[in-house]
Amino acid sequence: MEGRSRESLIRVRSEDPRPIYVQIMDEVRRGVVLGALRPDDPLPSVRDLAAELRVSPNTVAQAYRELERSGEAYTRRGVGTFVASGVDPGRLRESLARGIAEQALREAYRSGVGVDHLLAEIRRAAGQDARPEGASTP
Amino acid sequence: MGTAETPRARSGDAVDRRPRVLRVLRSQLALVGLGRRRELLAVSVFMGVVVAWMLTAARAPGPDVRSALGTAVVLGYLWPVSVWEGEPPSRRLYHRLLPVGERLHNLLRIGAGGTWIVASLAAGTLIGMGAAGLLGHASAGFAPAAALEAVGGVLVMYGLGSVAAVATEHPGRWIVGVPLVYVLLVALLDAHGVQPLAGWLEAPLRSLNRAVETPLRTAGASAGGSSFPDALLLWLAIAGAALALAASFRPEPGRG
Amino acid sequence: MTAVRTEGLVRRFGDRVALRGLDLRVPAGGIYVLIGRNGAGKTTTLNVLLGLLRPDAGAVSVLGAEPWTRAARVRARVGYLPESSALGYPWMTARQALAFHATYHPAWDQGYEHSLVEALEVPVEVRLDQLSKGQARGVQLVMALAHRPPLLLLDEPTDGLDPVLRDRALEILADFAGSGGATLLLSTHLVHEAERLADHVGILGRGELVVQHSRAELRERLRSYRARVPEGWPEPAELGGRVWARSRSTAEIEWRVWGDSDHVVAELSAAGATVREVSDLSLEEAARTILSAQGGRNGDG
Repeated sequence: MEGRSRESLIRVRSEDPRPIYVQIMDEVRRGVVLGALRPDDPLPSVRDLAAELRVSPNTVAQAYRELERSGEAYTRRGVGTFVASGVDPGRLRESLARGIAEQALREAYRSGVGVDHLLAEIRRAAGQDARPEGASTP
Repeated sequence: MGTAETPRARSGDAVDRRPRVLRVLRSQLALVGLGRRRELLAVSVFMGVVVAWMLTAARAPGPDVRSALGTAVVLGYLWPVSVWEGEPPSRRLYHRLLPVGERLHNLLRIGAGGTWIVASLAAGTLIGMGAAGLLGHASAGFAPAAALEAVGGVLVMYGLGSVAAVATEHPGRWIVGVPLVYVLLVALLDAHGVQPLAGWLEAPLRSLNRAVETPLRTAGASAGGSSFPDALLLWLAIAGAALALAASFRPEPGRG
Repeated sequence: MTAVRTEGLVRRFGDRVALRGLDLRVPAGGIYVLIGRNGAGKTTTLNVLLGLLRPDAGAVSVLGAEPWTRAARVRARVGYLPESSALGYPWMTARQALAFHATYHPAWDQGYEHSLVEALEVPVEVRLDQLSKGQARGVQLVMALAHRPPLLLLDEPTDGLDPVLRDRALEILADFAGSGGATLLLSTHLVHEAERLADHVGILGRGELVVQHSRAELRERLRSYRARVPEGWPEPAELGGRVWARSRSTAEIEWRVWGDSDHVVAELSAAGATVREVSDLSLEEAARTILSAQGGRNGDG
């Protein structure tokens, strides 16, 4: 079951093991990394995003607070929350990649697959599929 | 989607969130008037026919309104069943959960029902008198005091019927059953000459009879033992007290 | 600040004890999801909160008022969605029923009413007794929300709604929660849907709250631990927390433990198990774990 926001393609999934506020934060970061969200762009209001995603507004508020705390967003009282001006897409891409890697490692460990084995399989899978445009070389 | 249209500050306690009593009364009047319009019409028509018949068929000089009044009182007594139809105590959640004190709300419903039945009976009576007049049997009309006491008699019986309707699950049984048992009991005691018990039991019936009969006295006729207004007032008080009690009934939605 | 609070609430029906010392705490401004099996006491609790049932013992406070003695005041501040689809007067059209309902609620927002009616596809010219279950539910939802009460009590809110309307109802509720700090209390056994809305969770088992925490705390404290264990492994008596469930396959055991996860992992490792995975539980899984244990296997009741 998904909830999709008209405004910024923010998507959260119930089956995703991460808490919803973390998913929202990562979706915002994803938006920045992909260029859909630029510095000083407004994020959807807490109320609107909560309604679109069918989640509690407190969860959205928490996501925005955490983004503010990590310097990735700022709030203007009575106006809304915005992407921070000094946000660096490169750094965000790194932290997103790290999150994906950690998840992959968790899955691997769960199934008794070692790190080297996992890396080998990743290279093989990457070699087989067409490389997406714009992906940086490892 | 549209729900985000009018953001609004939380009402909370800043706004008075409860309706005014007069507003609730109006709503209950509308509820009964609209929901029971067919029954009210039928009552008016029936009353009109009875009055017209009584006036045109009367042999003695001057109107004999006894049967008309009897009709009105019986209709008033049965009316609560219609007012509370579909809402026995076990199926009254919507009514109870509205933001009005339960007792007050019950009394307002009863009041609204009473207003409508009196209006309906009065309209029927006037129409009947008018119809009889058209047929050449004009009546002398009711003295205002008599009319008032007729209304009082109807309201007493309506009130007693409302006690059953508001507090019992099957009011029909009570409304028909209680007078039946009472009358049978009195008849039985009378037949066996069990005095003074029979006399005591009969007293309320007699005084109610007198209260109902008051309008029958045309101007100038002998008043006789005139405790009539007192009898009516006594009965109004009895009915009122019974209603105040019955209206406080708060049934429990239990889970078996 | 709490919107709803009960302390030691007891309610009996004859011999049966429906609520045995309920300590409900619904924080203001959040969404509280009350989960429980049929017969656990959810509806009885709501009936007490609405002033329909008198407590046999204990204190109850709804938005600062005691509901049995100040029922009208409480009901004026609450939007209630009952479990059954019975509502209003059957001979009224939906439009008439809503207009009637509005006369009792001075804070009624007509604009909001209209947008709700549209979103929930309520056929306003149809008599109440001719509405489908889903349409009737829509009317009830409008009645509960249109006067923008500070507290919503919702009993199985999406029950009877088709998938499209179900989704719209959830959107409406999320939007309502976000507009002015309202408090929502959702009673449901469709836990999956309530998952994303829950700020706080109460799990009701046989008349009392087995668990009552914020969603975040529940997620942190009750986790699933999978470990590979050697053959003939002697399971330790102490796992570093309360064990709610345990299941075993050939070489792996899964525990669901309430406790600090670092501590539990340390205990398991020290005892010789290889912990492969520590994972969060969905609200549905957590509720099921706790309610099944209630049945007698692991839990103390």
